[in-house]
Amino acid sequence: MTKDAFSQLMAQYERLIYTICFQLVRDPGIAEDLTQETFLSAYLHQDTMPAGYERQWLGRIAANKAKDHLQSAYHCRTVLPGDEGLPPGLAPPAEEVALRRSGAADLAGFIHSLKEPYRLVCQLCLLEEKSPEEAALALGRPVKTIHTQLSRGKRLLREQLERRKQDGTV
Amino acid sequence: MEQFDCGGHLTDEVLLCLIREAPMDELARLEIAEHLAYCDICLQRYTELLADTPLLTPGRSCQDTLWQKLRRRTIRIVTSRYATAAAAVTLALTMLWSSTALPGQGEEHHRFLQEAGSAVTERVRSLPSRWNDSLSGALSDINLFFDTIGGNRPQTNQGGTHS
Repeated sequence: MTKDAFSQLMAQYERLIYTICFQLVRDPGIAEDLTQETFLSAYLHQDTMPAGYERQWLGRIAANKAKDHLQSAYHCRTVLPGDEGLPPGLAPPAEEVALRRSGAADLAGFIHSLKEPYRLVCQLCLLEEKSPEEAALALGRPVKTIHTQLSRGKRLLREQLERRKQDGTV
Repeated sequence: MEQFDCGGHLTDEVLLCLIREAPMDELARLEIAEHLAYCDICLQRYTELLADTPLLTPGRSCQDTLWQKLRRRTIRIVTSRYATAAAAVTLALTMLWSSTALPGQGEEHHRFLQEAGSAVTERVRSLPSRWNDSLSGALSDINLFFDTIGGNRPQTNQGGTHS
């Protein structure tokens, strides 16, 4: 694609891409940066652009850029300062221990009460002991997404367990 | 508000909330972005809904800055490539110079180079005969294979043995 043709494409879809980025991140400055990053990626990978589906293709890149931004922002907020420097322990993660202790029946109940998109992922990976790759295949989601959803799902379960423990019901 | 329906897709309600910029926490927006990043159906629905709504205009257009950014990126890549090549050449030259410039090693070095050169020449000379050997070996293997298939049939070196 020539520079002129790409400029034309950019002029045609710039507002749409900016709108998608803004609606997802809700910050005009970040949305502008993400719009630029979207078109930069699109220019660098223009050979994979499907003819006639430019809108969808650009929208997908924009959603990915917004996801990456929100993911890093969310991660920064949820990891406590200093935690990232801790060496990984040999013991299983605390939430897995808590899940094991809580008993299979309770665990199944907690998992079934989770909201989507975590319920199905946790059900497959924690109850049916499927690997993230198998879950990705079964649910039609990328493996990386399964990993993040599983990790967030476990955190939700841990929070739920802690709440129950505080209430004295577990 | 239910974000996902029983089929695991985004609900109409959540897509409308997104378009109307209704208050939504960060985790909910992350979950929506994560889903839109891989689900063709929901992305199609979302972009179709956006087509019917007035789009936002960015404060600064990325059209000019994008080309500048691309130019800077290209310069950076080319510069780093040339810098790496220059560093490699400098290192090689330095090593070569330091190995030849050492006192008392001139004759030994020369002898070593001569030996190395004659070994390489020997090896290159032996290559055609080796190729011949391996080629004739392969051809004899093929002949043997066809002989085995042919069994006791009389050999027919030329075509045209119609009976």
